[in-house]
Amino acid sequence: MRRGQRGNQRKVQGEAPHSSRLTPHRATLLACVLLLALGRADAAERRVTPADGPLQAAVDAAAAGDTLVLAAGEYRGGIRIAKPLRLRGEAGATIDGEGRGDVIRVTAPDVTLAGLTIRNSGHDLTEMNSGVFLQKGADRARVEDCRIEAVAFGVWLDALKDVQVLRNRISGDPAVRSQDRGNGIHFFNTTGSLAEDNEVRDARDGIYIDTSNRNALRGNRLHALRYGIHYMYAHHNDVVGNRTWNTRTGYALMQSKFLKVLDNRSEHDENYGLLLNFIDSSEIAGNVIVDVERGKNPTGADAHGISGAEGKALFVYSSLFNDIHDNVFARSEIGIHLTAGAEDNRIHANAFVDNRNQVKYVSNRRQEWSYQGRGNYWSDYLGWDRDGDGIGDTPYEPNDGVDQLLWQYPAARVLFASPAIETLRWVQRTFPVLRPPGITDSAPLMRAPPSSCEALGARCK
Amino acid sequence: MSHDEHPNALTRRGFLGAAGALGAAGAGLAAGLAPALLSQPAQAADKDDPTLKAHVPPGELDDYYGFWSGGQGGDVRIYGVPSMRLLMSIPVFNYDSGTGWGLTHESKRILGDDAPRNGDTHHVHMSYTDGAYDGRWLFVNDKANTRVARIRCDIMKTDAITTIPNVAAIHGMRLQKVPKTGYVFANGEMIIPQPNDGRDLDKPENYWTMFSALDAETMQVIWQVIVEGNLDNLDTSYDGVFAYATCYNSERGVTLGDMMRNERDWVTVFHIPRIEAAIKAGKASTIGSSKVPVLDGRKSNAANDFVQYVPVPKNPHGINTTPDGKYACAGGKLSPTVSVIAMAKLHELFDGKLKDPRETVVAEPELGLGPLHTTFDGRGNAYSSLFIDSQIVKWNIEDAINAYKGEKVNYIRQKLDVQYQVGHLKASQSETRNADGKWLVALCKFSKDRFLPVGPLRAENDQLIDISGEEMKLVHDGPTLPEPHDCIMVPRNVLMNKVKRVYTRDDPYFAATVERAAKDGIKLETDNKVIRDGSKVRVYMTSAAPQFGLTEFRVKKGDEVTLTITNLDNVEDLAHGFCLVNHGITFEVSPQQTSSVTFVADKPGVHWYYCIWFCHGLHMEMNGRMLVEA
Repeated sequence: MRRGQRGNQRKVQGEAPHSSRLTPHRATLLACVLLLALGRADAAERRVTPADGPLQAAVDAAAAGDTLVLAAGEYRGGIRIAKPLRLRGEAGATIDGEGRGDVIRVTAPDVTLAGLTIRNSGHDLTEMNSGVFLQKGADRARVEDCRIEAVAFGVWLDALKDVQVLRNRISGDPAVRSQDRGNGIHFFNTTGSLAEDNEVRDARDGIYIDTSNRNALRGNRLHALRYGIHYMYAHHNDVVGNRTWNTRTGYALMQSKFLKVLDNRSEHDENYGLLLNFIDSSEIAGNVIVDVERGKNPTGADAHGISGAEGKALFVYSSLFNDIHDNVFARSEIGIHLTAGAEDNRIHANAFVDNRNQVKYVSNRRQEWSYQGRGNYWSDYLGWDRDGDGIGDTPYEPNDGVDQLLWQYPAARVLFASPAIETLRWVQRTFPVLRPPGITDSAPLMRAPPSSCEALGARCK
Repeated sequence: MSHDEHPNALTRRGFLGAAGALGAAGAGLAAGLAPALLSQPAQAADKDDPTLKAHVPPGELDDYYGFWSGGQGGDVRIYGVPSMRLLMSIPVFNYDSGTGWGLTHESKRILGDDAPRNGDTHHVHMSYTDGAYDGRWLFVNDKANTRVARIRCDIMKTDAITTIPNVAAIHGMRLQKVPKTGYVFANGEMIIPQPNDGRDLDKPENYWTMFSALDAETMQVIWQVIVEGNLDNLDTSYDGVFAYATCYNSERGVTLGDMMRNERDWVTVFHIPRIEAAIKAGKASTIGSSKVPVLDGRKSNAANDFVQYVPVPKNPHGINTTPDGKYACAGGKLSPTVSVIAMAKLHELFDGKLKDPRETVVAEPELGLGPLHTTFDGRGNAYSSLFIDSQIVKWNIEDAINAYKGEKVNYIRQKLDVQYQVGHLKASQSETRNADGKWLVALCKFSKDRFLPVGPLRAENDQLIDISGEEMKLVHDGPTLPEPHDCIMVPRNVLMNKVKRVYTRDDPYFAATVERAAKDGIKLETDNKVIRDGSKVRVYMTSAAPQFGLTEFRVKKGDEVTLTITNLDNVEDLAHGFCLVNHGITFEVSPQQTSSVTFVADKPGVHWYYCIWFCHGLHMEMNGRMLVEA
């Protein structure tokens, strides 16, 4: 139904421009060096087939550093890998956990799983059943190009260093209650690791990350989930070029510092596109958040949504010292909601387009939202640009009396965007009778930045 | 500042003024429309103004006594609800300059001689009879120094404090609800070596904690149960059988990361009658120098039939029982869910009828980010605090259960923004069978910009919310000094006729002082005398506004002086206070109360004492001299 989602994505190419701490290449190099160091001259590649007997026996028989190439067919899961090893699947190689425990549990470093179909783990969340459970000690593991299906957790990273989870397609079991499913990729106490170009669907949360510093989540496609990225207390991470849609919050980023949140997309998520709760000293740029919908009862058939769960493109809560620029926040109930002393952020060069409330600002103090003479683009800005410098002649104040009126008396909303309200706004600005503290953009942009035109199509041309 | 001058909110009058100005500006259509558009909702808002419901006019009394823990203040506070007027601070674990709590003999008998001067109160609860508040006592924990205190409700003074052995940091604390409060249950939050005598410092695998039961009458610890994991919050059932606690550290980790690993921690469930039976059967042992019998409720103990562990997601925090007694709701904290555990299923679990303890979970609604605590309106609705969303979510319990069964049911009723980041929340009488669904207090952990800035340290913000209708309505911001955690609301009729206006002379609070005076041949109500006993001097005097019974007394340098003051005034609110200048001594002597202190008179000279509680037109003249001979 939502095909071609990648069409509008700003591709992050090569070396991530904003990332100095990304380690994939370094990690790969390191892994190679280590493999060479570990490797014996006789490191072997051996092909196994289902007819050869249990896969576990082949794993046990292999020597550290060997490669097992799995021929097409079905292998029984519950595999435990306790030595450096490479398992590569030929097309159709499937490891089936038969609904018990982990399909594969890795306890040794330098293990690679590639090209496998891994399915049917147990569904015991207490035991954290996973398609691939990378246990403490499984540093430098690689899980790549696998299909991981009908599992509780997809890939669990348990206090690890320098792991790579690349180009996998991970799905949970839609027959299981959402809260009884696991997360697609679960980072716990992990560092130097990368999740890139994975697709996660029908799991609980797409990527869950807590207490895990200096990792990168890049180019993942996350949909039909509770939260796309569920993010708690993890510093110095990059969240770059991911896409979420059909989630109950695209990006829930909480209680973390020094993040780079760049070039992500959220489309038709509920509640929040991008939630920043106690996120400090981070860069939030180039993200496109559109069509965020009011939260609904997760199990209900509720067309109207929950009172008090307005769809917010960006929620900035008690988050300070961030640079929020060149994002698009569009077609949502609320463009941006700032509260709880979320101050000292630079907010500039963003495009706020056709949100029912462009800004909800709950504070007693004023904020200026422009930087070095350039503010943001506001689709409801009514001012002129007589000197043609691209900057509106009068400040934009989203929190004017009319906005406040609309929050206080939602019934008046039927008239929002009517000529009457627009005129009221104009009059109020021209004859400023009241100036409630709020947001001022002293240098509103007359045109949306090109990035947002790309994101929104012809709308802003 | 008038309402119109509020610096942020666009008030009704403010806007109408603005609209008037717009009209004056002659803005055609808009100006014509503005008053029509605006006046209708504005008028409606006037009579529906929810904040008016919380207004208690001068001279009128509140409907509820609100009891608030004082957090690191170490005290317990009394508020009037719904006015949110602060009525009293009851010193408990803290030193209190005004009343001399921590200085007087009467308080030291309760605190102990070498009591720490700090405390950390979190959970204050009132004693029950048949699941309803009975106005006998309040109980409160001290996380800072591992204690539990009891407060007498007739005088609102702390009357017993017990230090709990074998554990560290009492956090969750709850009371037996039926047939009446006999047990006080207390959770040790932090895991420690057993015994904690210097062994196993570097072996966290040997750290454990315990669940403790005190006798509410004697305040003695009568048994403990050692458990897996740790113990956070606590509640008890309405059938008297169960107590249950959340555990956020099933990993038994000692670093933040270690404590966050598990997808599910658990609710630890205690079967009280079986614990009593095991104690009776002699299955307990003791640890170190403690004489308290300890049962082993760990999974490794095959004979453990009295503790069960119900897995719930993930670092759970609060646990609260529905007023009908059917369910307990555990807040997921790091999971956006609340786990609803059915009492009937707990009975089946302990009877061995369930394969998996998870079968006791009958609903696990997804509510929002950071659910911590849940409270109830007695109409089938629950209200959970969402710490991260900074919201209260109202949801329906039976609907959530049906949704868990797979029905397409909308269980969430409303979400309401609160300012900011709510921890505990409590509806009026929600912890009793009489939950009345009138008021809810959201104890917010931050006030940020809600009040005038008063320096880097800020008040918390306890917000009052009207829950009597279908829709929650915020009606009041209440600044509180750092840092209440929890509160309860008790209908005033439970207490108004029990609270004494003046002390009775036989009050046990100072009975030991009366007894000591009697040994000196002193009748406190009449005698003003100095009794010398070597270098010990005991000074007895009365106080009756505006005179102390002695306007001077004479001692020698180095004498140990014990001062005992008895307030003869028999008039409501006519407290005296005794302050001895330059000696660090102040204490309360309320009507008909006796209070005493001991100090060394080490400074020769004239030292005035005076009444420190305003008592009379001649209050300033109510003083006297201590003459210290060199």
